Amino acid sequence: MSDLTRTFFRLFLIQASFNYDRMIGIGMAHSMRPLVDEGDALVAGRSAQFFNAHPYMAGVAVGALARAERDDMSEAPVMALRNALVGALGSIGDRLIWAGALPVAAGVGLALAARLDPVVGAVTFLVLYNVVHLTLRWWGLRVGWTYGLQVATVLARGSIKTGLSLAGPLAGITLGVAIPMVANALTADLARAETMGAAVVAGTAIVVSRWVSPSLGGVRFGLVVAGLALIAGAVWA
Amino acid sequence: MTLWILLWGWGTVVSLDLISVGQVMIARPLVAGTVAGVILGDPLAGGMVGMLLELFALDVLPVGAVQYPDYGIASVTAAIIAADAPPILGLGLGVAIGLVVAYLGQLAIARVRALNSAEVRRTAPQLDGGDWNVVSRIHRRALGRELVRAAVVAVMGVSVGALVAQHPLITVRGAILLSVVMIGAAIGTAATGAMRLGGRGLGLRWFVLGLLGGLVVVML
Repeated sequence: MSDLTRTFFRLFLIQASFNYDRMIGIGMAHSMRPLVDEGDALVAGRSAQFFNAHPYMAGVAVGALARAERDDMSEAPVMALRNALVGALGSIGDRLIWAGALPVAAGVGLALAARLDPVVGAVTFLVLYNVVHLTLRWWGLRVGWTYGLQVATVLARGSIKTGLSLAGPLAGITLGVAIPMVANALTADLARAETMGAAVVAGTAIVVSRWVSPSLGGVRFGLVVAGLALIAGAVWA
Repeated sequence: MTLWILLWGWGTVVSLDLISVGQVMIARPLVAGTVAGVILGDPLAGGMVGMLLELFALDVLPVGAVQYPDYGIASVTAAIIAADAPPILGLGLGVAIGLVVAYLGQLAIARVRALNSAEVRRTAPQLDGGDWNVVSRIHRRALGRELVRAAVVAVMGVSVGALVAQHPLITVRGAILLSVVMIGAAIGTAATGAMRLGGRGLGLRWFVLGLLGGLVVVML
């Protein structure tokens, strides 16, 4: 197994040592280790410093920083690149994956699960999502390792910008299609009055989460209404 | 016994996938719930709770250091409760208990991260001095903590699921009411998440366009 392949597999564990002091810094150093000179303590010291980025895009930084260290660059440009990549890779990854590929794949999976079969939906979601995920991880490590300190030129390419501009609209339209289909499947066994009741709760959730208390979050809202329903159910009985 | 070991194993794996190992998204409720349903011999019930919890999960974008609920093990718990129950009775109860488990899982993740931070602070001089062995040791130990966390959370989720499935302690009317509000809350939460994703401008218009398309598909 080549050093690059070993690093690729280590990237899947990059968040295992996540901590509030150095975020994924320790995971970065652990991933870089096969690619750099293990005898150089300065490299190890630099590699384990604070770093945070989208986990799938962290390979860009791992590859680029390892290449710079391998080419014996001085500390200043290496640390400058490290600092520059923190914000850039976080922003690109969040918009491309968390706000793009994930909701798109989830929307398609949900729609198929609601319309056809949950197993079909789940498998389609996993395949769609991981084609993007695995490609991005491998591509990121390769371009980082190839371009080193010049990796910013790759991140500024048109293909990345196109992906970023498409991610939001695609996510919006996919979730828009999926939500009514899932709602229809979930309420199929309900009586008309019960479906109306669910619609009222849904409307309340939107008003509360969007305007009244945006920080409440779905889980807490769900727990509150579940508690109220349990009390109402006990009284009703 | 084999069934419970399988469910515990699946719960542990999905809890690890959430953040630390792989992130290939088997922890997403649609996948975790459906597979738990297949293990239990009721893929439809697993798929239903998976879809419902997936709607809740769409509310949270795992951006940066944000802490998010452990929806993977929550889906396994919910599938155990919903399996073999009449659909509308098990759905709401399963998802409500699943949300509690998801929240407890979130607290466990925060605890592990705090322990990792303490170790990093304690070993900062060796880390800054460039000791590769310390880097690897911290990483391995953090991975071990994650494994323990995931296994413990999975035991809790599976046990709670089994307990509630055997002793639901809820009337039929209460169970129906719970299903109605959980379905409503999930749809509202997903719609809010999608609107947040779209922002105020063009993105929101794409979401509304999609909604109209989805309504047409439903009516066909």
